[in-house]
Amino acid sequence: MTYLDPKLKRRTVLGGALSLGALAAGTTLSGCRTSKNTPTEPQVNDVAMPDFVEYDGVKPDLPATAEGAPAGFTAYPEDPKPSVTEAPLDGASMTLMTNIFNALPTPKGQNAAWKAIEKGLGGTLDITIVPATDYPTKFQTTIAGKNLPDAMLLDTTTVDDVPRFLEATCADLTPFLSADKVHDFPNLAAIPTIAWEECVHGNRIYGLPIPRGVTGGAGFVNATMLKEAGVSSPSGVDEFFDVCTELTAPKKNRYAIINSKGNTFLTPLFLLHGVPNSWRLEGEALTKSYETEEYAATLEFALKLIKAGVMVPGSDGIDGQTRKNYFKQRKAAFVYDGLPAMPDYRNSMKGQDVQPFVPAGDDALVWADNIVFGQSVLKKADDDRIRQLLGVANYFAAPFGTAEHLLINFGVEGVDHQRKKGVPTITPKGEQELTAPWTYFTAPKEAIFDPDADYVATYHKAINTMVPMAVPDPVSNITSPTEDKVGSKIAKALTDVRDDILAGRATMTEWEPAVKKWREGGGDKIREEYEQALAGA
Amino acid sequence: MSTRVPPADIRPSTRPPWMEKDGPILLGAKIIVLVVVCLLVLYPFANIIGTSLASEQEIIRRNGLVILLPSEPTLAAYKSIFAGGVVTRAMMISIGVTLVGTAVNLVATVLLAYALSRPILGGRFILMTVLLTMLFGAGLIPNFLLVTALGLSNTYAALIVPGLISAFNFLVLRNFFQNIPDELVDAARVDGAGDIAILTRIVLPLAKAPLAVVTLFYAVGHWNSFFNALLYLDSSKWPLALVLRSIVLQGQPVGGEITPSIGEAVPSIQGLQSAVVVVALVPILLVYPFLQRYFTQGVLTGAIKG
Repeated sequence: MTYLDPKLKRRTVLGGALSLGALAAGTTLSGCRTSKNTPTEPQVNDVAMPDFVEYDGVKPDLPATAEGAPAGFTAYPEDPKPSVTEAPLDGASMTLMTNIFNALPTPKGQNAAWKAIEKGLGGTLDITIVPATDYPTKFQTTIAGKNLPDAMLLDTTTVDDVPRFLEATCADLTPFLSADKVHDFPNLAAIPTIAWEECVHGNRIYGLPIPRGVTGGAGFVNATMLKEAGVSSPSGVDEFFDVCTELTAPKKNRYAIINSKGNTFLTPLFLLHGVPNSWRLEGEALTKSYETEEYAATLEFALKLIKAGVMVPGSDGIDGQTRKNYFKQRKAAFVYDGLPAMPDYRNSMKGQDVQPFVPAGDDALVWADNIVFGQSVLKKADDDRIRQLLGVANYFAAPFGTAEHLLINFGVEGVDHQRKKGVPTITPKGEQELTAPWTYFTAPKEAIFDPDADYVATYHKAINTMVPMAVPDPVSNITSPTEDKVGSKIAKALTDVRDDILAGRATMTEWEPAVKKWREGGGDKIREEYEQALAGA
Repeated sequence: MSTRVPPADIRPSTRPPWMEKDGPILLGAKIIVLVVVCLLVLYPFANIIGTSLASEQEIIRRNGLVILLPSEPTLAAYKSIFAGGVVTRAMMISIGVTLVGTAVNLVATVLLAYALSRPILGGRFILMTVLLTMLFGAGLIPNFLLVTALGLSNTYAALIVPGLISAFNFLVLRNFFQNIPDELVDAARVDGAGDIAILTRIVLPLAKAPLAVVTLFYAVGHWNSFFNALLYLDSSKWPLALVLRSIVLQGQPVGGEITPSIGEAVPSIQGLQSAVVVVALVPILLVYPFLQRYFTQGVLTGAIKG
């Protein structure tokens, strides 16, 4: 047993506790500290993004788009080609900390897929696996303990001053990836620019993106139920209301919309009404979504729907699992859920025509709100080590159709998957092994893959309709110190009032005063900072 | 001369009213209340067991409410849990940590409690220090730094050493030891017994009830603990509680289920989650009945200062 490290004096312990407090209250200190990267003034991030070089090694059945809509595939190449020519680790080891949404995988020693990946990397890969709900706690303790892994998933929910944290702790990847420098890592270059933009902090590239499908969508619709009720997918707000009332038949235990905790049903309504994605930019003037007429109109419309009784009774208090079950039981035709839930609904609702709901109408739009799942950051190290770790990232970003992608997602053939009519089908052993969360380090651009050509076509068409409509957040690449400090707190206070209105605990007359309070609590200051940055760009 | 005892029906009752025999109406009312309470307690158990044996389609059809036996029972959820060896290994780890940890905890707690039950030099200072830990904790980060500095990171000792002595269990035992008559100890000392012999041959045999209680508290604490394992252990060393928790929380995004998982596909796994709950409960249900008779007696004995 080792004895207490003599360096662990009272000051070190207090320092560790204070470091966490400093992170949480980092914004009060950031103003006092000068650093070359940490912004105390708002700024537009204009660092040169990594060049985008499309991977052309596999021809898709349905093409991807430059805006980021994924390609569609109905088959996996029989003989996938490797995209990485040199094992990046070269005998070295790497530690990674990231989250997991599934059950724990088979440990490395018995995991054929993990061993094969290590062979491909040319070294050892140790992953600290943390359940997603516990990741913020683990992240905090890891940072406070100053025992960082080589790479880790960045958790911004527990860090108030992200640029300062990154500057102090993580490697600046700009010299390695900016502009044409990314050509050294061709798989990283195949990640769309829109995903890289999410990884810029303090005008430097710190993150490695985990791309998603650009938009989270507007939920799903059970087209079979619409057909049975004699209605079609609505276009515009008024038609939506009419369709909902036609669908609703309480005596048959059938309704139009399933809500859930947090009033998730609001998102499709926002999109139908044209509520902007966080902020609206007109000229040089910014308006927050809460302040727009469209937002207030959506709340009025929501109250109208609630009064008409088109929502599953009691669904405003249910959790996500129950929401899914209700939809699968055909309790209602419309539900809001993320687009990646599509395979689960499709598998559980055979015989039902479940489609992504595409908002239609003159005012309709979708938000570019699912550009990345998150991003990983690398611990500070010398240039050679950073290149080595970027080589590993390049490995895991191997595009669909490559040998590395097949191994990462389907494991070892004959052990983790079998080829059935050319389609890799995961075996029971594979289901145990492939939950390992290496896809939460970095990942390639998404691809739609299913042997059912109709499903791929339907999903591809929906995504390709929505992505061009996707409205970006105009300030996503701007850092606002006030937003970092108080943004989430004042937003929560406002959405609490919104939820009270929808629950009947407050009236619409309280909405405007609540918005005014948001402005006074920091909203105006945030707007001022963003506008200042935009004007100076 | 023998004393005749009058018949019970004319014998004046000196017993408290609640110990009197109940009339039929009151007895019937008590039975009904107890049956209702039992059903309310057993209902969630029945639901969980039924759901764990049901297929996904039946769970969805019944909206998660499958009481007792489903119409198409299946062991798929249990097979899924025990496939891959992760849960089996975690169970072995939990058993090992519980057995070793409880034994170490008991030894340390008994020694400290006995030592402080007798007047010793500096005893009051040590007692106040132990009691202070009941009131104040250092917090998450200082504890983490301490355990890391002690070199216990990624070792099973990180699950045992930081909570070696529970102040509450210490008090239970100390109070009991204080109530042991000094005459017994003095008599043993006169016979030549040392402190260890007095402890092992005289004190501990009298302390079976509080020892059983403290053992149960430590054992259940070790069996259910997951947070320290999350902080200090690699996933290959996770105990059962943490592995099962990760299965139960599958698909849960950070911050809970307030907004849909926009970016991640969340499968329906209610059957799996219910099977996990059953697996976690079974060992405790097996052990507890053997210690139950000591439980109430031990807690009360330790809690009441003589």
